Amino acid sequence: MYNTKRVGWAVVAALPLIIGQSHAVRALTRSDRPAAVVIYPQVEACDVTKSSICPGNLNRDTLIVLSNTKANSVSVNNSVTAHCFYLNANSHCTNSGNICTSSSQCQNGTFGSCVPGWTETDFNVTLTPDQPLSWSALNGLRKFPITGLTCSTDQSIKCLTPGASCGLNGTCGFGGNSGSLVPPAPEIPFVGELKCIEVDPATQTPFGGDARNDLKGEATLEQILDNGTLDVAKYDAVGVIANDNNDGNSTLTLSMGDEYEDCAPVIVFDHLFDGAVDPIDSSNTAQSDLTLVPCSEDLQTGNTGSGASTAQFLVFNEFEQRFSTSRRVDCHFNSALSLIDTTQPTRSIFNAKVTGTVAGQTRIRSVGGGLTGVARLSFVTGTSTVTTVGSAAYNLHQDVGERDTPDTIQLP
Amino acid sequence: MRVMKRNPWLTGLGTVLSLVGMWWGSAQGGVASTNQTASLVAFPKVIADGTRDTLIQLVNASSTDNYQVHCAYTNASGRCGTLAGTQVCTTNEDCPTGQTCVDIRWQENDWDLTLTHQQPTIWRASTGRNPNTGQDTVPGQCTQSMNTVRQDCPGAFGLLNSNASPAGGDVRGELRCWEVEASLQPIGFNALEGVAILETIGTGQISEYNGIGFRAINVDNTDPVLHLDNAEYDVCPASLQLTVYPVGADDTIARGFAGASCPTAGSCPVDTEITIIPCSTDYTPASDPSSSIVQFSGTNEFEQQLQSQAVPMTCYLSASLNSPSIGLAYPFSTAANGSLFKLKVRPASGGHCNGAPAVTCATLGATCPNGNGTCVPNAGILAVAEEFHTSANSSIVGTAAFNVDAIGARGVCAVSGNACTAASSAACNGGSADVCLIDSITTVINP
Repeated sequence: MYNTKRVGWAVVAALPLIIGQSHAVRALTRSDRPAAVVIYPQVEACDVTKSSICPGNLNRDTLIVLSNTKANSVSVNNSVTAHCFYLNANSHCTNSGNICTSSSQCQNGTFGSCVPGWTETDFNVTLTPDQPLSWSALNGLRKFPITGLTCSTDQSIKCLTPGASCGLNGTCGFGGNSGSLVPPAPEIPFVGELKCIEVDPATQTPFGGDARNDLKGEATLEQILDNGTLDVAKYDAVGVIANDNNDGNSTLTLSMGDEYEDCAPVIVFDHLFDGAVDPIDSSNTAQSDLTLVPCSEDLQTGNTGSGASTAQFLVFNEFEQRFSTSRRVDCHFNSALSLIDTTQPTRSIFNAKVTGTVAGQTRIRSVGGGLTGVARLSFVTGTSTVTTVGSAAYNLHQDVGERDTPDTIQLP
Repeated sequence: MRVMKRNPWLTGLGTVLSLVGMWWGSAQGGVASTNQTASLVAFPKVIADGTRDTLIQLVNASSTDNYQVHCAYTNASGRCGTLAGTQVCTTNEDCPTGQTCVDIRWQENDWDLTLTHQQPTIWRASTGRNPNTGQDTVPGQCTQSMNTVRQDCPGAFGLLNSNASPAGGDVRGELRCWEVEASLQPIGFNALEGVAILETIGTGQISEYNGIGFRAINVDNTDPVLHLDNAEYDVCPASLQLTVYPVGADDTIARGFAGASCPTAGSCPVDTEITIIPCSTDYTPASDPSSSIVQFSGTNEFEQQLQSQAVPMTCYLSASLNSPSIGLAYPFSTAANGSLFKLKVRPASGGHCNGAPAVTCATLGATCPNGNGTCVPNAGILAVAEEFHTSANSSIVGTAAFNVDAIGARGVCAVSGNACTAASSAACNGGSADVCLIDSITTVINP
């Protein structure tokens, strides 16, 4: 005879071993280990001698670092080719084509609107085993350290046969950085994203079969403040992990267990509320900006709608009070925190004047395509004239889990 | 009297459910990460020494549950010259010429707090924070408490024991926080995440890095030891990797702009400081601090492979890459060519003598000569790095902290390479030196 009480006790006895386990469904992007696709969500550059609309009238640039994490091998060519894409998110006036941030900048005798853009510029970089490379967004990179076949311990010595011994000078490499060129940022000022994908140099598509996660990236956002200080903010590039079942075509599918792991269903953003007073130095107040980019991207047709999504923001303060808002993300979303939900920062749910506490947690769920991003905290002084005194960039956290719909990156 | 008979079916059901739960948990291990919520979070670099201070932001990301969190600072600082010295140090290089860093005690300071579901919280390391419900506080601002060193901040801050959330005097050290029950037994619900903000006082210059999280897999809450072995918690990485400016290199961006910030070569150098802590630690009173021997190696953009000497560390190592403590002035300098290095940092192969932690040894388990004890494995390591950018026309140094990359995983046997855990040492069947390379954190259940 069925005994519900005993069944219940049996289940209860087993529950502690099930509940509280890490469900550890690890479909996530990673910024702390090598990957097949590396995303730099925020790349910015401006030279005040070349543009009158540099934000804050400050010189700024981004140092991009890209590394091959594959170790050197005598017999195997462990060079890695990355197909990279700058995605220019500048807005332009419809009448003049000039870069703008608001439509008021487009009124020069004819009516114009400031329309967001999304144009891509792509290039290839080949990295030799274990090699790190860096370039600035403003200047790009034309001269590469290893060109042609050279001996591993003395690059001035040329050789003929890849993998052959160079005697005391190591071994002959497999071709160095040949075929690489990094263009400068396509516009000044520039704001946008950089995406690098590990590909087969012969086909310009990912290698089929086994996973290749060999790329690692970092970005340093640097601005030269009015007092001459080099203000630097560094973050790790967001990595998309490849799995072992890549079909090697030009459509990259991001879905747990598929070709690549997917983006997280929820991004967790820990921050100070805008306007919160710095607990260490009360002359400073906090100002953060958040950058979100879509995980899906159509780099073949430039269709900005391919990865569009709605970012739903749930904001919690230290009193557990909850606020919410949402914004559309088409191609590149970068906003001061307290301008996400309003044009009047002191009335924003991201402002300490509204929330009342110093620290906040914002959970960002994407409806539509997946999202990833980075954040930057700045400390500022002054009220009528606000001056940045320091800033720091950091990667966002994620809730583990699986998205309902896959993302795709379509290569040209 | 009613006789209760055992029902084999029910017994089997319970057994199956238990096994499913254990398998589900044990099959999903990983390596410590900076990207996801976790049950244990480590902040390797916490400074509160009068020139710099640290804000710690800790978050409960659970949407339904409140958690108690146990936190412990380890202060690795000493004093320059004498016990009464006023200058804080962790290495001799922090001290004026002729003085050594003395009285390094690795002092531990712990407390508990509660985080309600979805709650963020923040505190300043040097002052800590008073427990409160947010009444009588200033919105959006922390203020100095009238009668204590602590700050009052708006928000429900549930400090459970009034001992110390201040870091306890001048601090250069680390912080770890983990989920616990009321009895302080560890539990594993993977709801924690955090960030640390380092600030140079008086300049507004800040650096920020993510806490390093270890997800719980199958926590044994009858055991105060947290095993970082891919069975109870995530493992530590086998090695770490970061990209750095070589010693003496100029800031690439500043050199690219014509201007006073970097007018000539050598006028805007970038210094990189790496902070390393052992994965293992023991919070029981009077315990020995964990030690490791750390190996640095690197590759520059010319593929030149370079390796430094092994560097011993106990409890905490934070030093510039060009300091004698690390010994990377050469060949990791611009004198050796190159503008960029990919640096790898890992526990050295072999081990160290437990009677003399700075002495290396090759065969684990063997007796060390000169009465230096037994050869024990080098502890796994965690790290963060921070760059300091000097400008030619400003006295303020720009700072940027960053998390380093995790490469590979511990939780393998030293000789055979088999996967192993704290409970499954039989996998290490390659002889007496085939020790399971895992780490652990010994907590105190009944302080």
